[in-house]
Amino acid sequence: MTLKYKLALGSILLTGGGILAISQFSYHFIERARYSELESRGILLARHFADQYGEAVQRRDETELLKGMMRLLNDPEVFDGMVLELDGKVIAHTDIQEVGNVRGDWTEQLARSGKDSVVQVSGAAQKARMDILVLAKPPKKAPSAEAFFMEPNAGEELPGPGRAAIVRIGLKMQPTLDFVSRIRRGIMLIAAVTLTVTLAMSVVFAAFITRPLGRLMNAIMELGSGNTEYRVEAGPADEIGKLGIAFNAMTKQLCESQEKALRSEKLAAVGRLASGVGHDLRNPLAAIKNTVYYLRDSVKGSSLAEQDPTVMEFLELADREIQNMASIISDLMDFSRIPKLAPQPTDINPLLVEAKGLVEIPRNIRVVENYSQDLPQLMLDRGKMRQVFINLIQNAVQAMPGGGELRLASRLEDAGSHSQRTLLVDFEDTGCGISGENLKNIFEPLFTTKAKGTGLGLAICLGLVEAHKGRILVVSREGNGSTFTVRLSVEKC
Amino acid sequence: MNAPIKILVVDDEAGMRLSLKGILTRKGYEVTLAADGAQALEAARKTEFRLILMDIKMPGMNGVEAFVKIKEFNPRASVIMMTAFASEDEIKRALREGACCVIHKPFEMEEVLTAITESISDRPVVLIVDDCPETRKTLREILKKKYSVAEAGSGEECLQKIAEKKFQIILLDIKLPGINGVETLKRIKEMRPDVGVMMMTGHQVDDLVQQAVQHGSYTCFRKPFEVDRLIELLDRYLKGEKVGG
Repeated sequence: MTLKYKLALGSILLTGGGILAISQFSYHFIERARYSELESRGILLARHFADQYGEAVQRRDETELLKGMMRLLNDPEVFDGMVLELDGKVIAHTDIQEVGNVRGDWTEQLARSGKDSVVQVSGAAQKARMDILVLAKPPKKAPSAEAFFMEPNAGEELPGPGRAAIVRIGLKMQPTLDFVSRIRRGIMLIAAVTLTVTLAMSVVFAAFITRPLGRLMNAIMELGSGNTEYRVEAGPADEIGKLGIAFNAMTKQLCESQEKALRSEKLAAVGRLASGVGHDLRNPLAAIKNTVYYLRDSVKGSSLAEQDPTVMEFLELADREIQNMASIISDLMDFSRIPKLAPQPTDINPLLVEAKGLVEIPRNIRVVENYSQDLPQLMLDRGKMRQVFINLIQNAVQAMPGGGELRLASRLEDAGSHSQRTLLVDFEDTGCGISGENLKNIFEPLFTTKAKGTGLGLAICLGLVEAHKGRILVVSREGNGSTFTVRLSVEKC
Repeated sequence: MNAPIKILVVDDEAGMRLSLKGILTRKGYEVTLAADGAQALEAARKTEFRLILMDIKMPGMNGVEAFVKIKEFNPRASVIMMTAFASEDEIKRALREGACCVIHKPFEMEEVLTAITESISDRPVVLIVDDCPETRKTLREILKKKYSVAEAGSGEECLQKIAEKKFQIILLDIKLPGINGVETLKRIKEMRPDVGVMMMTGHQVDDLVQQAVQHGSYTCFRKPFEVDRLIELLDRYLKGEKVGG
């Protein structure tokens, strides 16, 4: 049985049980109340009669009593009424023919009970009746004021054959029974309706609770079959909702791990390719380079060179292109190796100036240098850090094909209370900027927005800076230019 | 004037052999070619070469092994190793065995030609390692007549320089920023055991001096020093004598 139906069944059983209990109790209570009411009424009627016709009872005045009895019949609930001797002999009766008979039923109980009234229910359906028997005692003569003071209960008895008699009234129970019946039916109807509604609501409610669970289950099955992109929609703000959020977080984590693993694999593959290819290319490249050298050396100053200057130009071009190839191969090789650093105490500013000098900066780019003085020395592998600077300057220059401004700056960060100070080197350009899309990818190996290039430059820079336990940060806006900042920690030398 | 200097070029790639022979011949050297270690050994036994340009990675006997073998019967030959992508270990071994330097293909021929000239030159090369520029300048002035002089301002720089080039003598200050003098000495001896190291010190640091001697320093002298004494020490070292104190 699914959870939905379990929940529904549980709800129904609980509420159903409750409803039934309440109905039962209500019905019982109402029935009791109605009976009591009838009883009280009966007793009241009987007593009232006993009081009103007390004297007539003492005198055994049949006529008077009969009149009184007949008057009783005006009450629609009265079945019959009679006055009896203590032994049951009928003195007066609403049905004249009964006079003189003995109706001894329950008179004994009355006598035995010691109380002055008794109520009995008998019969069924239309003949159902409640008989109330009340003892009519001879009235006491009102005592004189004096006597009352001396003894509250004192009172002379009336002369005459003052004897107790029994007033008995029979009430119809049919109306009561009908009423109770109607109540019962009403309550049962309500209970049934409530139960049905509860049934429906339980199922709906259970479904409501379990549907998010169902969604979650789907999501987990999707994940199981390899779909790591699937996310669960936001659910209710309860445990199930939280489960959904946790699930989403988990899959996101999984996604990222997968991406990382993929990246690592890519890296490893590039590395393997790089080593092999690089090595194999270097020998032929070296041979070509040497031949070009020989040719330049031979042709330099010759008549051929004079007649056709292009010869020398082309030989120089060939040399440059060879150099280009060599640096691409170096990039590949560097990338596949873990950088081994030879750190020395280094001043940053001269290194920056050196790097700048090694980059061809076109005339339409203005260079602004803002170096802080008195910067502490850092333990850096000079060659490698210079390589990083050269690369970043080159990137800045390439971002401004139509000219612009290149700002180089070095500064110490305000560390405040930190004992570890940080040195920052900024490379800022006013070029085309980097879009948000690309920003997260620029340090990825093999990623490039240029038509040419291995896409390894920034990846290598990052590797080198991180090998120095530093970081590279980028701030950029498309159309506005970019700022690359190299952060290096200053350690006590 | 002089007989052309004999150079042996060893490389398993025909292109490298031919191009190097062409260039070096044009520059006035007498070039012999060998295609692998075995051929190199054979050639070296027949001729006393001043300089050998040797590729490291070759089939059969690799360049470093061949170098070691040639050293046995021709200890004076200068050797420049070439490599496209040799392992760190092989390069370190080459330097330890006394190679002048290791060049990486593809190389700038001009730089190689300079290295060749320096390797062949009879002028001993001295490296001055001291963090005080004044001291370095003073020493350079003293030594430049007889020796080729190079400078380094720290232990790290010193190690970098000796990886690139072979020096006959290193004048090493005991007190240096970064890696200290004795540590630098240790590493020099690891990298290039055949280089002579002389420690310099401006202070009374007897225990450091002891350590220096233990780690293979040829001698130790105090600053300020007598110029004559210094030159004498250098001469004696280069002649191969053992010196005390």
